[in-house]
Amino acid sequence: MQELVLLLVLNGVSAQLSVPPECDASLCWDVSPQICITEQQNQLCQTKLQLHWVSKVPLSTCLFIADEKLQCWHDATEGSWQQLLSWRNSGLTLRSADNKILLQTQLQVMSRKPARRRLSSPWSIF
Amino acid sequence: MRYWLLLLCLLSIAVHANAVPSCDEGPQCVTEQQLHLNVALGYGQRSNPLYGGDKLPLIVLPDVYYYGENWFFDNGKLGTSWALTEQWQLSLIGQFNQEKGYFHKWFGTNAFQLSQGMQSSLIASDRIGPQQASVREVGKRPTAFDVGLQLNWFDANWQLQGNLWQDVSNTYQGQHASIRLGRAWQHAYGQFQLGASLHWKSAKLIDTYYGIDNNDPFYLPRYHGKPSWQPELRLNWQKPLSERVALLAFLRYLHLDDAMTDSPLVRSNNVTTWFFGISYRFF
Repeated sequence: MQELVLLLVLNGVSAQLSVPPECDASLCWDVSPQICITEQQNQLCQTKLQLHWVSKVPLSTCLFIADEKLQCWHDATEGSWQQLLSWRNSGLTLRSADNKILLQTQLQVMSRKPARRRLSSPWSIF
Repeated sequence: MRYWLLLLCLLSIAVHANAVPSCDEGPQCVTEQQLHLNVALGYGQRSNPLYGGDKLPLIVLPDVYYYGENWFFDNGKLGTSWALTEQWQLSLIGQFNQEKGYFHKWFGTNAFQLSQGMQSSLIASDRIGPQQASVREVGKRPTAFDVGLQLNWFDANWQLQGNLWQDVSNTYQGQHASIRLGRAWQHAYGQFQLGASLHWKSAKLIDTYYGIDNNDPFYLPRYHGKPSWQPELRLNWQKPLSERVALLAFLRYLHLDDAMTDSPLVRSNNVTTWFFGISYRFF
């Protein structure tokens, strides 16, 4: 039960990924979830992460979580990706072929029961 | 009674207290709203500085704590906290006074330990000396409950703690206070915590527990308590073996000043406590 994630997401969980709303830029994406709430401090968030990006011009791009490559596309104007992942606070980036960051989103893991300082020494009874 | 009113007043304010400072990781961090229970099995001993007082063998040690949103319980200490800043924290706390533990084997957490055979009872005709007095000769010492304030300052590795206690059970009607500086180390050989403390105990406290007056047998030498200063050193070591099991050792030296050793009840100028064992974390 260590990896149990009690509550998921605060940003648009939807059954079907759609074109990012209100996208006036040449490149946009929709990432969901962006915030995950775990039961305990320092727990990994284990949940299905999904995204969809659209571009007005064809692009060759790759998707990274932190420095780990997840997926690449070649000369595409849109792309979708989803996968069950275990993640901590980390950055999700869409990068060009020359590794330039085109889009980035910070994924956050928050705990329902945050850790705090103990106010007595361990085994202090004696 | 006025102390209880103060306590109730402060507890009601605590509902609106700020969130307490967070803690990244390490043995000093606890998860809120989760009961933590560690039990250590091993061997150790706490000396007894009193004539006729039994050493306390340490076999099974509990380490129990629960931190809720607005209150906490930690090894017999019950309290509520306010975050003054990210590093300073003020707590209102209550606990039973520990002084009686030298007089009564089954007092408080002493009860966790296996009984050591009672030393032969001393009676008036079996005196240990004309200027000494045994715990078995004097009247029963009271159980007292203290309420106080605790101020903590935290750094990544250092911790400073000040305590001021007042008897609210109308028994010894005095105060005691302490200041403690502690440091923690993470090492390949385990986690070390070193602490240095200075305790102050009021004349009324010393007099109630270590004084000898007309409530005690007539043939004992009289002693009227004075304020006492008691420095202490403590070293804790813990080496995790798995997520739940750890090796554990601690050493504590408490020095007793003249205010204590002048009492006919006190035969030693220190209390030493040591323990070595293995601990298991249930929750």
